[in-house]
Amino acid sequence: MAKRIINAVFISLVLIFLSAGLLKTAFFPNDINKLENRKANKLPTLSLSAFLDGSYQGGVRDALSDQVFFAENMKELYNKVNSAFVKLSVSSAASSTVMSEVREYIKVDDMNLYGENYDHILYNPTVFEWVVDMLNVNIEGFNGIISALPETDFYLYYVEKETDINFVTGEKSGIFEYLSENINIPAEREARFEVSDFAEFSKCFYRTDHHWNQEGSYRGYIQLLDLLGINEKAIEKGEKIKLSGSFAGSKTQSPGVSSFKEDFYAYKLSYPEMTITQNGEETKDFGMQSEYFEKKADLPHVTYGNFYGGDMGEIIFDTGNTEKDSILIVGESYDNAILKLLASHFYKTYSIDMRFYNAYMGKDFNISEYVKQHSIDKVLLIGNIDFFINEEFIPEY
Amino acid sequence: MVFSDLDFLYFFLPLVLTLYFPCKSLVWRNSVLLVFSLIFYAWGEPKRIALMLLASLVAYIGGLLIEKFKNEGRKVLCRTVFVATTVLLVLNLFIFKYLNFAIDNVNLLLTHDITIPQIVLPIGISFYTFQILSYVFDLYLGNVKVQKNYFYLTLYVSFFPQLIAGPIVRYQTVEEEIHERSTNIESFAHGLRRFIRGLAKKILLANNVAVICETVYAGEVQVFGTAFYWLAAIAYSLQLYFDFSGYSDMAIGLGEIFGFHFLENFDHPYISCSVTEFWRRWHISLSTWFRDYIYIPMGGNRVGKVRHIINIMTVWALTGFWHGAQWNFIIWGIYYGVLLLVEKFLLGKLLKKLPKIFGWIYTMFFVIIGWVLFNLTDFSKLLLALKTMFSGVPTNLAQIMTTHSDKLFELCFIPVAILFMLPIRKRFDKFSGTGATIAANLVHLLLFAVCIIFSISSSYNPFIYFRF
Repeated sequence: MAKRIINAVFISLVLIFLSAGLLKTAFFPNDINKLENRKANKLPTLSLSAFLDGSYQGGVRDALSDQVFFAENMKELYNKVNSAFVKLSVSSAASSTVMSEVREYIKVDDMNLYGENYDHILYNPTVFEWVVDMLNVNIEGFNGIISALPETDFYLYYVEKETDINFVTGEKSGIFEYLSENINIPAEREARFEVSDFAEFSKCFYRTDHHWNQEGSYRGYIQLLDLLGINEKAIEKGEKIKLSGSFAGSKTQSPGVSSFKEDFYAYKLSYPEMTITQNGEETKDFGMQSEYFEKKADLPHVTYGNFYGGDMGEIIFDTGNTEKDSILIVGESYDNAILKLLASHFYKTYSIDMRFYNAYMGKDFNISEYVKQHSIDKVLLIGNIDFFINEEFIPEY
Repeated sequence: MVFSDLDFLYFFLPLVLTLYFPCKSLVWRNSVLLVFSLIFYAWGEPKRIALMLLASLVAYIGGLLIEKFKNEGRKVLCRTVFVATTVLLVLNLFIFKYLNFAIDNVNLLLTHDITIPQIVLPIGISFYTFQILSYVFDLYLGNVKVQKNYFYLTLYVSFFPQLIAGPIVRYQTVEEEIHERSTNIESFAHGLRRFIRGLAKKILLANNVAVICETVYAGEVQVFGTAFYWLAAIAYSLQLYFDFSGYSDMAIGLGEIFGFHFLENFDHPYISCSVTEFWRRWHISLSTWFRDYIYIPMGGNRVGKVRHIINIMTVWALTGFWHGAQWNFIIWGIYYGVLLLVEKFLLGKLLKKLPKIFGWIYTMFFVIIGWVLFNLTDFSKLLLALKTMFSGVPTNLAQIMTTHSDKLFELCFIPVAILFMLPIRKRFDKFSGTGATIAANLVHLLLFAVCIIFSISSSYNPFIYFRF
């Protein structure tokens, strides 16, 4: 009798677990997959054609993978265990005599590990031939804009990162040189954040995130002042403060490196007063720099986006100083870290991220109209390689 | 859909169990099983389900006629229908599995250029054809009664636990249970535990060791060298065993949940001390099928020595060919035919006298080599692999560390797999009290949880029976 009850409990537990997963998927699905930061898959609608071509079956599998109870926790746990093994393997490889002779990248999934302790996560170096066609499309688009706005001064700032150089061979991608040669902007209005070796890279970029860190972005800011012909004194660096000991950047979404963490530092900077409008609404601030320095309660985990400010369609910074120029910055997330710094030196600073403009503002962005409407003096095109090879970054003109 | 897929575990299984058990009458229960079995097959082969239903219909009509002519004493007609039914079923298998292969070889030999459309192999066709044939053969031989209900015969053919990867269940085995079977909490729990163990074999062991094998064969010989080519061969041997026996465990367990009792298909083959013993323990349902329906009717060993040798070689060439329409499978079958002949006529007695460890090493050596023949259908890759295994190519450890450090996780499953290929579970069978049941259920719940984590998180879930 006791055995019967024990077995009945065993069967019930398994069946309840499986049935609950099915019921949740069918009737109470989540909208977002938080772990992978995307829309969660839901059960597809059954149709004969979908069943015959197998797409319905695939859809059911995808939905279950996203929706069953604890799906995200299970994936996170699996990734962490997997990553712990990678760490163990990499650390033993790094300390081995075999590896001390060759300083190669260690491949993990589609990422590379490099550095003395192999704790920097790097994307693969770019092969110029693979991206040249995409570069040409964007160059043509940007040149169209430049010719449509002959009265406006255009500036180009290219942020090199690990994809622009192979640290083992020292070979560079040549992307900036190609842009410089083909985009119709005078050479004195072009500059780059140059990465020439790993030592420089490791100072200026996070180990686990794809962005530049406090050091890199501040250096970029200083360079940009020079590029934009601003003779004012730069905002002082301020104190370097550690805000987290367990920052896990965007690159840790790759399962094999999901347990990698690092310290998150930031410079405490003093910005002048300015009003800020995000996506058409006035806000207190862009990012949460002061909140993190003040260690306010209930703050989310510190990340590049949370600290400096996330990607928006449009951000307008207004210092009220009409003596100064107005600038339009067309870029991507790299500029988020320096927008407030740059805005300090202008009357109005308009920042546009083409990926999100339409979604947030409910209309298309036309750069010619925008420049005329806001009496913009300077336009800065700023970004890393992604900005120059993805068509979605080209505004209409 | 395979048993380790999320859609089976979370979608199909809860639905079939929820609809099956509330039914009181066996007719309704069989109806639920038939409908779900057809859905199960259609899930992966929506357009080829008609082929399976047609093959069942041929066997059904053939069966009725065989029975009719047998009862009427019309032996010639009975024999004619038997032969015609068999030919039709084998022809169906030939067209869908072997026709492309045959045409390719004819073109190659006669420098012809016969072209036919590429025929996609329907999943499980080898398994269900052999099951249907077992019904026709046994009916003709008088070992089973005719099945007068087409739906019940189709249920036997399409029953989802054994449909796409075996074991090859003979009609004889389930003949009575289709009409009369019982299930209770104990047998359900027993079946569920067996299913979970099979799931763990497939998801935890087979899928992970498979990564090692695939990584090595996808890389360069100069990098991996002889040592890693042996590791890959061992990894594939483990993958195949845990995948196939895991699938059989799941099938047997599911069968038990629904009140069916299938025969065992694997009995720890990697502890064998001779190749003959290995084949008594590996894919038992296939070996016995060939023994009972091909080898014995050909005369078996009750013939002269030459004929006996021919019988063995024929059966093993066919066994190899059953696994796939490629020359490497035929060579693999012949390889075993030769090994079994060598043991039968030369080595058998010696192996019995030697300490078991020698027999085991000898067996594992030839079995592992055999799986290399089985695995690599591309002859250039096969020859390269065999050459590398025996030519002392050094390993470039630095290169492996830089490009494959992320495979340590999977590598750790190889010793675990080696441990579990031994019959260690049998040691726990002697415990049968309440405490043992609680412990067994807890261990299985834990194992199930780990399987679900792997199933949800890892996208790597190869299906290696697509060519069977």
